[in-house]
Amino acid sequence: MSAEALAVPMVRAIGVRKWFGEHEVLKGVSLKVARGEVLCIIGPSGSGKSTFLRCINQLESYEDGRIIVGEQLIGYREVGGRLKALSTREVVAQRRRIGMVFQQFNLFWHMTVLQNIVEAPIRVLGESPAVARQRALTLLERVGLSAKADAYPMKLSGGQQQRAAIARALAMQPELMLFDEPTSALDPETTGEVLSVISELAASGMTMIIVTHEMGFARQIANRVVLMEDGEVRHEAVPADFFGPDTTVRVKAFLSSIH
Amino acid sequence: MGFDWSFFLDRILNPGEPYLLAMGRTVAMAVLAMLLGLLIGLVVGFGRLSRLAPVRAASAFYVWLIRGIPVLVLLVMLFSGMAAAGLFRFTDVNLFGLKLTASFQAAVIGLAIHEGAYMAEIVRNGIQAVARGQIEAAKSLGMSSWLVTWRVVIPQAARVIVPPLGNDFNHMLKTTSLASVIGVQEIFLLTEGMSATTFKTFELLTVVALNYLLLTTIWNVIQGVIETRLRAHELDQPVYGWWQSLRYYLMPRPGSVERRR
Repeated sequence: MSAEALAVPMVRAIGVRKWFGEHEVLKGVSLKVARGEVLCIIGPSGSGKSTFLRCINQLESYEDGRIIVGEQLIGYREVGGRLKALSTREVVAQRRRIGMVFQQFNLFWHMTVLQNIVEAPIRVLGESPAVARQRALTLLERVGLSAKADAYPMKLSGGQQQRAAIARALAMQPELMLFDEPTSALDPETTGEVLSVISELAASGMTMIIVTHEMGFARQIANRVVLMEDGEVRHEAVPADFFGPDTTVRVKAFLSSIH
Repeated sequence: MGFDWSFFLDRILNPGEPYLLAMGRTVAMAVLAMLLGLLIGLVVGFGRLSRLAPVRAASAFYVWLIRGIPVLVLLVMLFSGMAAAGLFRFTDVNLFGLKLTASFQAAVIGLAIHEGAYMAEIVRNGIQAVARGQIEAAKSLGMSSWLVTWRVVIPQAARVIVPPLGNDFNHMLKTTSLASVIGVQEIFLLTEGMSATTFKTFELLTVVALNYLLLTTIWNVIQGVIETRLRAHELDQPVYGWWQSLRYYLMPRPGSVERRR
């Protein structure tokens, strides 16, 4: 990849706004994520952080502003300075290189772990079953689930399901991974195993945006931490400053509210 | 006069070619009408959840209308009523050397139209039972609407759809007897013909009742295997494919009664 391409941020959000009916949930969110960077978004529930994440891969649409992933404007085409919504087909194509991991894992329960992982590479990317299967097995080894390839999701613990879900997202070879509170539905015992898989992924250079309530984890893994409140970015800093003694009053208030 | 056991047993052991042929018609009618009804049910069921208001309205209208008309009336209307009005007349056709009589066609279509309305409600319920997160996960992997429907929604809805569908097919196997009214030579009409000449009405009706029971019993097993397959993910031991599902369903094991439920 050329130096210029590397210089272009992986994700640029510029003044993103969204309404649910009368209620404005995103009030002009602007953020940048560089390639290989890990951004953690924290904030109280209802602050719009999950909604923002879901706008990036168009599980939700936004009404104003821009989200640009790589060089692509997400969800819209700009015609004479105005936004024109993309067709469903175009939106589907944009999702391919953006992986997402959900709070509730959302593994397809009617498929085995292996089938879950090879499904999209075969059906969406048109890979041969043999190639897809080989990469799936490699990914399962990476997340420590080789023994569970032929198990059905319901037979796995929450932590195992979430690791399988991470493997499923990685099988599409995404250039960006979105994590929506990946450990919020887990027992404390299994949270660690999922966080270590995410840490390993960060170390491998994957660009990631993680919405989390795990402050210790955010501090350890993030390149930058963002506080969102009431649909707005309230503070943005490197972890040392964000969690340090000289952080903003708002961050202090939030951090003390969750302890 | 009593029950003529020897006549009864003879009818059971030596049904004869016309009776077996009639049995074939009964089964063929039920299977074809069910398949066609399922197809109608899928279209109308998805239609009821369509984003387009006219499609939703048309689907709801179909269900409302058809569920309010007796099958018997529907069958006679299709076969005799429309012909009498000069709207449409069913004619015999030859399909790959197989003669499909006009009444048989009308019966299959009438039964399917009726079944489709009930199937639509079953399908709609099945689709609505699929968790939102499953669909979002599929979308997030770049799957198209068609792939999401075909690979995630339908298989997961099937888990909910199949038990009531099996119930409907059980009904269907027996409802085919109404086709006798428009002259389809199925087992009930044949039985009536025989009883008119032999006067062994009670024996013959017992035989035909047992035959319907046999059909529904076979279907019970088939339905059990299909349900086992669709529940593979939640069984006490992994079951892969149809063959293992059949074995799992049929194999007597301790506690197997509880497991099948």
